[in-house]
Amino acid sequence: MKQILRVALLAVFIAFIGACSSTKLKEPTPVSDVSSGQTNTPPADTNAVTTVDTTRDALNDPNSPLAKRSVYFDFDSFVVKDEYRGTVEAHAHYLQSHPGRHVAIQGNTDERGGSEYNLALGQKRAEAVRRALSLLGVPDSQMEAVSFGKEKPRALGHDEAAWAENRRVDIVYQ
Amino acid sequence: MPTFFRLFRRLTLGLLLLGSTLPVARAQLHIAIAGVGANQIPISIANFTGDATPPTDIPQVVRDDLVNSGLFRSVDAGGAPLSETVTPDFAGWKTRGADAMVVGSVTRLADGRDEVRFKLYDNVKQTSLGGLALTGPGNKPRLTAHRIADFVYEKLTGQRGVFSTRIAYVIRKSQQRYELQIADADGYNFQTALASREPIISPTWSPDGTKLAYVSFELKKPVIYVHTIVTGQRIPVANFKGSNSAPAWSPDGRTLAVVLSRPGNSQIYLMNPDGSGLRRFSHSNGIDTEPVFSPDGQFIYFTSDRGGGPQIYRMSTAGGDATRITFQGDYNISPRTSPDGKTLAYIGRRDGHFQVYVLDLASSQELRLTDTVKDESPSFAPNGKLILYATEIGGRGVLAAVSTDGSVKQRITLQESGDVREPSWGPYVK
Amino acid sequence: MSMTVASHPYTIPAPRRTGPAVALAIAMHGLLALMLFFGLRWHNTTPAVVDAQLWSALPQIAAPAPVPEPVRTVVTKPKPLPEPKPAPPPPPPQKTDIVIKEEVPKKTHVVKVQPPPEKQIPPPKQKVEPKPQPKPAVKTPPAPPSDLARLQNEAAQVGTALQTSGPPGDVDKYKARLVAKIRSNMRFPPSADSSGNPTVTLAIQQLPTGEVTSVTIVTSSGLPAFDAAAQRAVQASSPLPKNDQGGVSNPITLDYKLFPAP
Repeated sequence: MKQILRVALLAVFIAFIGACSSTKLKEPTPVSDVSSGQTNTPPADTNAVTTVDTTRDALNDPNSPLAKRSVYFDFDSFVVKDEYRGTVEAHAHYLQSHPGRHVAIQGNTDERGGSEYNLALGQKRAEAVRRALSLLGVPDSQMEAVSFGKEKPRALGHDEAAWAENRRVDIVYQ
Repeated sequence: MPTFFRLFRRLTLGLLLLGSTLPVARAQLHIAIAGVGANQIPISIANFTGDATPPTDIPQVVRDDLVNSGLFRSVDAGGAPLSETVTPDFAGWKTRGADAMVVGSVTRLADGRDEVRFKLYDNVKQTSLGGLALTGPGNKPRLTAHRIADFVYEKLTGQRGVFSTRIAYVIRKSQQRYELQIADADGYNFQTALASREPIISPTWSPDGTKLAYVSFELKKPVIYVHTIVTGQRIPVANFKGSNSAPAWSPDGRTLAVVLSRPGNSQIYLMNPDGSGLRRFSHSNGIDTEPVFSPDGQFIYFTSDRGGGPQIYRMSTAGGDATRITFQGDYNISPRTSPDGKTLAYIGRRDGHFQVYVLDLASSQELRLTDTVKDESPSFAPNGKLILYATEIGGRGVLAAVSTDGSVKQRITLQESGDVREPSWGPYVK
Repeated sequence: MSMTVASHPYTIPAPRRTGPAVALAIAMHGLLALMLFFGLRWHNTTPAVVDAQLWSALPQIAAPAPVPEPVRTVVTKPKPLPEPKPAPPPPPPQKTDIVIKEEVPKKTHVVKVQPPPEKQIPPPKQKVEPKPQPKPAVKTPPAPPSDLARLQNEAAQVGTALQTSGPPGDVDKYKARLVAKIRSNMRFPPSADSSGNPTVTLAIQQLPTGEVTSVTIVTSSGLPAFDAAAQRAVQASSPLPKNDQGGVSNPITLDYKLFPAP
């Protein structure tokens, strides 16, 4: 019984990852091992091997929602928009399951306005993301919200497109 | 002959009566005049006599200082060097239109230093207004020239000159090269205090001119350092979790106001200049930043968006309620107090333009000073007559200055190329 | 006149007949001596000159005897009125002068006298008895005594009449000229001061030519540099403009404010 449960859980877990992965996964098949006499398992290729790779961190997976590290904001806004909820949740889960990981949450603004006031505005955005993560259960010790204000713009233009790109919070793993 | 005598007397009597009937010298007349004919004092700076440091260097720097201040007009003195030991031909200089003139000499001393003597004359009143004998290093004529310019400026305008003071600013030479530099008030003789790959903002001089507090991003987050200029030694006085920024010195140099994001939102704290003694100062749920002390140390002015948009408020240093100070427009930031405490300078955004404004604190009258439209970081000169600020011209960050009544506008040209921002005017040299 | 010269190629040969020449020489010398004699004597009898200083002192004295006025500034300058006779100071000599002189001077003074004396007429009536005549005296040759009397009266009444003789607009025009010239020479940066509106009061002394002889600070503005600049402005405006009659006022008190009133 226990074995079935373990296998079933494993299968579910693999299925969950497999749903986002580009590699085609086979249907989870019970591993036939010592537990002979198990019934209700569908017939499978008994020579198949499913790889479990612990060296592969989800963070490095470009297809993972964790690949998205930035949250963008509207002008004069400090609210995390719904479209970024998924990203935030992904990181929240990751951080919860990897207590050794720390993130710097870096807030930025567009170039308009004074340096110090924009530093505070950037901080407000970073804080909004930090609070969202916190509400999802991430401990404070794993996060630090800081601001660059308008000092380190990613887009160097002087038009709305550049400004929109710079109104941004980055989640940076350390 | 008697006839002649009579004739003579009649003639003189007649002339006397003639004179008497003219309204000569009636009673005392009283007139009142307001306003001036010219805003600039015409002055001649002659070439100095002497054997050392080409004597022409010093008068040229004096000329440039006085003319750039906007308060003086240079009247050509001709090329002849004039020493301070000879009384000038006042009538001649007055005819040339110079109300005042400076003459002097430079002598190289045995130890390599230069002794510079000069005299300032009032050509109209035909008196000497004084002079000095200054000794300075032979290779630094500019400093001596600035001291001469300060003397002349103060004698003729009644205000203390700032030609001998220094400024600090941040220059971005490339995307990964930022330098915090200190230069003379005219932009010459720069020296680098800090070089970094990451941005540096908000440099501010300690009242005694020996240290700079600033915000550096070298640790990938904003951290406040207090940096002793002569030795280069520095301490990170505020590296709390989150952001640390906007340092400001109290007038007695014993307190630093800083902005920390510890509560979640940016709030003002006070501490000792070594980082100890932290205590919270502002209490709001919004952003409180950019604290600056009044010159008497009684108040702290700061930017706050507790009312919606950023405006300038004031609170007693001892704590209590904050009073709103700015009411025009919906965006006023970067408050700075004048040395006499009567005027507040700040950046106001109106119609998308960021410009330098001054507010008379007694009357609440606001005056826009600049015509440039991307102004930041105003900083008062120690005599309160000029405001140094950063702006953008042709897409490049440059420094400019404007007089507190808006009448004089200057560009400060630096000797290095790069985007220049975050200027801060140093105190008087002791 | 012959000059004694040593052997010289251009020696003027001595005249043949010396008699008439000598006589002529003596006559010319005598004439010169006479002129010098009278000139010196005249100098001696007249205490300095009647001019601006003299007139300005009169208001304080309120009547005769301008004699004791110090002549200091006067001595150094050429005077527009070359021969002030003993007429002004003591009345008795004037009487004799009046008696003596009959007709000649009238022409000269009648012309100029006409515009000013209108105002002077009423006061003299109070001062001196036989003086209702001044007005007709102006127009007609007879009644010379009244001229000097009028002169005397004018001298006496300067203290009371605190206005220039002449149409009222003259004063304003004169003031405007002074203000315009002095202000145009005021070269001082208004931005130099921010504490209110500094005001300095100056006392200006000038000669009848308009030449400024002294500018002293009566009340400082508190900003010595501004005081000095105002003094410079006045001195640079020397000679000061005259009024419509070609005269000057002395002294002049000047209140100078840095800023025009808003």
